[in-house]
Amino acid sequence: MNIKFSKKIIMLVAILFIGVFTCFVLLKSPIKSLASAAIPNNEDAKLIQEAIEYSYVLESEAATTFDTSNFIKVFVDDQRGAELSQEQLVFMQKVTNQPNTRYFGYLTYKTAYYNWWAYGAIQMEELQSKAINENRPITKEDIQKIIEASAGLIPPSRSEGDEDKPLIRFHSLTISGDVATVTYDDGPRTNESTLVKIEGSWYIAGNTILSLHL
Amino acid sequence: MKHKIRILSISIIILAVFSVSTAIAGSYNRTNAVNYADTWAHDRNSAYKSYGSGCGCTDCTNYVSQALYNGGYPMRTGNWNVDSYFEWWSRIYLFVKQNSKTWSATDWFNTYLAQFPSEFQYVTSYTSLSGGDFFLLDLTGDGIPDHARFVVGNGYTSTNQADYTNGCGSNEQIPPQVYTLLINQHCVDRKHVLWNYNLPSSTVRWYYHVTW
Repeated sequence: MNIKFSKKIIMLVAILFIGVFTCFVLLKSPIKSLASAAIPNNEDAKLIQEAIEYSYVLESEAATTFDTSNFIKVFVDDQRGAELSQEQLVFMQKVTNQPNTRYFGYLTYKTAYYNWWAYGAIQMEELQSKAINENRPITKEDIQKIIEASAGLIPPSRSEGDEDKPLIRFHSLTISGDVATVTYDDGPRTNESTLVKIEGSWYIAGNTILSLHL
Repeated sequence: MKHKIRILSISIIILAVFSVSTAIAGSYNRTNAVNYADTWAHDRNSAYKSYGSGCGCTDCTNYVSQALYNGGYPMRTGNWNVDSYFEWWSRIYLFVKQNSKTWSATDWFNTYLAQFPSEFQYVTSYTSLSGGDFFLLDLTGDGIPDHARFVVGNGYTSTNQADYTNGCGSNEQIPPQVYTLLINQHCVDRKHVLWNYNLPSSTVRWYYHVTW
């Protein structure tokens, strides 16, 4: 009777320990992620999820430093990936000044997007410092000059990198040869990413936003 | 006599215009704006056109505009042109609720703001924002804002489940309560949540401090 009772206690403690340890690991991870039952339990699936999570780490860094040199570790230009949305295509046509080009790879797009962000934010930061030094307000003409040099788009502010760590919830993952399709939620968006396997590593080759819910 | 009346009339008009403009300029009342935002965080004011509620609604900028207006930032009616980047208004005309695109569409609103930097100061950090300010976000990655959040000041984050849903019937986990900069927003409707709730740091943003 006592032995059986002790075994039960030991089992309970073990389960509790595993639960607490799992929670601790999830909380310490730079990107918190939750996988659902529709995710295969194999090495490729693991690598694919890691690639997506790592892309958020790199983008978060790039949003504050504007250094996109590591993007080649997670993004790739590959026609097997989903095409850019119509709005993203128009953005690319503007920033590259190639109004007739219909295809841009995902790596090219991501790099261009951050370069545009960097240019506008830095110009606005410099303008603000200049205006303070000259003890004058920023004028419409000041802003208009930056807009014109910024593909006609209004320059945004830099990210300060202290936002919530995105909680990535993977919904589904299917692998067909060297191409994988993953649906996941990153907080404000439900995404469908296409990843391609190149020399043993998985890269994001395209992304479609399925829904917004900020 | 006629000449005297004409001079008197002109003087009265000039005086009236001058007194109105001085009364409005610089009269943005942040407390009133925040109170309005709090009152209508989870509801729609029937005095204005609504851009929906619940799943897939698009009322975020309309809500920010209403809060600004109720804080005392005046409409720019001009020619009542819906498609003007230089006008910003809402009205009921022949029993129909209308507003300019700058009032309700985030990208149009941002273009309007760029025309009036002396009224909306571009700031480089969220730390420069206070209750009554707002910011815009690009969630679709095209360099154009598609969402707006209204800042309601510093305070403790909400612990009300109604503020943590996905707008389509699912509840999200209520985060631990913290003292921080808070926002309200429409679509998904939220009241007194962390300013960057659900916001990856890679989201392009435009911070605006109201200087009216």
